[in-house]
Amino acid sequence: MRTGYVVQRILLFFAIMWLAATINFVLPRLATGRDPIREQLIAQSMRGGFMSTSMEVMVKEYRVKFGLDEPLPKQYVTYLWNTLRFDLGKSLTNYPKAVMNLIGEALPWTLGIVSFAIVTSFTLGTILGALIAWPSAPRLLKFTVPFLLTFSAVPFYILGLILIYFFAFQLKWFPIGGGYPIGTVPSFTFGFVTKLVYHAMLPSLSMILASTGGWALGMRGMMVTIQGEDYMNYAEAKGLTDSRIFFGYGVRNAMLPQTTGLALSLGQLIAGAGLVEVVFGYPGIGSLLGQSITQFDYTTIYGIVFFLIVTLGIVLLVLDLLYPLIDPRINYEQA
Amino acid sequence: MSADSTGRSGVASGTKPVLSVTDLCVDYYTDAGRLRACDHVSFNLYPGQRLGLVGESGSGKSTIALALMRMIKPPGRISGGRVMVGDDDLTAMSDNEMRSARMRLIGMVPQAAMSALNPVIRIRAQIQDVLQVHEPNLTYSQVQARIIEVLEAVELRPEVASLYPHELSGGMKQRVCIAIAVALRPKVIIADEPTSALDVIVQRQVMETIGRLQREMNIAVVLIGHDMGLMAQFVDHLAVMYAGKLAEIGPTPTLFAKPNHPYTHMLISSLPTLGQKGVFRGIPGITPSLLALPTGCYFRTRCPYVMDVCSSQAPTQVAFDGGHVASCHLSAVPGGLTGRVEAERDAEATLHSASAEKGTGEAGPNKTGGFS
Repeated sequence: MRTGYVVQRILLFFAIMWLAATINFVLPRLATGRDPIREQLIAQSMRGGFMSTSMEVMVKEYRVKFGLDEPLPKQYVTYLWNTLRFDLGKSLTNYPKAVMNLIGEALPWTLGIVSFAIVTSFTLGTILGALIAWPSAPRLLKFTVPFLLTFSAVPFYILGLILIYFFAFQLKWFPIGGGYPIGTVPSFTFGFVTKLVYHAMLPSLSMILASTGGWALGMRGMMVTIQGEDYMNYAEAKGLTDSRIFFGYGVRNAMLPQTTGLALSLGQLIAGAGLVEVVFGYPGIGSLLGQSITQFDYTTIYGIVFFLIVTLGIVLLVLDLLYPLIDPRINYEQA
Repeated sequence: MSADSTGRSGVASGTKPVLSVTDLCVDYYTDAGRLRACDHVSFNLYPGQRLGLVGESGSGKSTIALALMRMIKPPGRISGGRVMVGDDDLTAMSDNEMRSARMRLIGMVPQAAMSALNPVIRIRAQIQDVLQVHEPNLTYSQVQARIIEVLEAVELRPEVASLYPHELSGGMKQRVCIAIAVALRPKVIIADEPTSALDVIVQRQVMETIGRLQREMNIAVVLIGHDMGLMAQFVDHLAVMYAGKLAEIGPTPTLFAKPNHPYTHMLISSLPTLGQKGVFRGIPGITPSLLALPTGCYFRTRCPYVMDVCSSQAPTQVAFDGGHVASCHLSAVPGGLTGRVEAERDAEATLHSASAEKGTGEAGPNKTGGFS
């Protein structure tokens, strides 16, 4: 791979980030008619039971605090500079807590269940799909297809609700929600970690059940196609063992579009994970986003959205740079 | 030289055949019914011999190749017959024994060299695969040495080992396939149209390589194709297939000089010659569908010398001198095919001179369906 391409690709990444940041900056300023600061202050004072006469003064004061009194170009530059330093501003609802801190608190939870769910469903689905398409694999596996189809058609969160109803509400095998038992303090002790896993079980299961089918069906289709390839026939003519043909020739080649599919669906997976978290009351990014939306916490919403774009951008960048390793035909050389 | 009643071609030296195919039948079970793509095919191949297998598309050439490797996939099935390589009966082997026999006893050079190599692994690994699976006792350095050795045997530089298939030309890919096919020095190699996707220059080079390796290693080669010119140059025995059956088999010079089956005759006369410019003699009609074969002789619908007996009775195989076998009713007719051909030629000459006198110039449409 040419280093020129790597540099180019990294520059592209930053360009995308800049574009995302700009949209993130422009969008809330285009939304006229609602003033989050005023709404927040009114909500706060309503809770206090009286309407302050000096509301306007406070609104003005906060606008200065958030830098909203400055001219737009200056705001833009400040915003870009802050973004570059991972300073996504302060939360409106949880003022003066920094959005970055909120994200930092929620991130490990999401990272835990989402990465576990993606890795498990991708691996499981890929292997299952490849086996379903393989003639000498147990025929019993073919009976899993209808289930996979059904599950892959059901959205994450609905599956989550069904799981909660049966396994948490009716059977009481699993907790109904939350990331850990109420009343315990998060710590790195064995007892707490087992409780963590226990709580993470249903949310990750709903994601795994919902996405394994998709991976399996995609892989099955690819394996069927690949089996018609001349190199598969020739591999058989070479007298190779069934497992070598399966892994080294079949799966190895069918994996290529599968990996592309993974890269393309990461966005959806993350979005879906957010909904699952809301359904399960899991203290991750998804729940944080849900809360922020209901509380009109604009800075947090935009912070999270921007953070997700950055994450996705990084993952795609890494996948793009790794792709030549799994498919040597892609070498990014200029023809 | 003799051929036995089952229609075998062979040399008279007391050697045992290295590949012996007896009454091989392959059936495909389709929704429209069962069809026999390979119908009681028998032939012998002796060490160092080159047998050419020619025929139109759908005549069963590639089916034979797959059947010899026992790689017929459902809905197809080898429904009868026996394939012996030396003393090993391929048709009696278990699946695992057959797997280990592939490339070790019977090698294969694929039809589609362009796509026969795994696109995502290096050439080294593809050769290594076949060495390791059949000779698991080889050490790493022995395997590497063998890889270089076989690459050099097919006139490729050792550096090719670390390339990927897409970095090679078509001829190089075919050479890699040949290297894989000879890596374990099998007794027999089946080359299924090994040059079909290559240009004529590379075709010649590749065929020369196959020929040289065949001589050096004393491998018997079954060359499948429909290029009669290539066959004439390369093989010493020729088998002509028609609709799944062996129409004629015999030593190439005999077959070209004195074919005993009208189909062979027509195939040979369809070759363009330097003398006859502008006139190309094809064979009219197409191969019959294997699902709706004519009664009696399968070729009778296209045969210019068709007789009454052809529609009622399937011809049996008749042996001629020099391991030459043909299945045609004409063999029983005095004068045989040669007599008919000569008679026709005379008639044509008469017609030609007659039309020349009339001043029309061109000969009228003849029975063999010439078109320019």
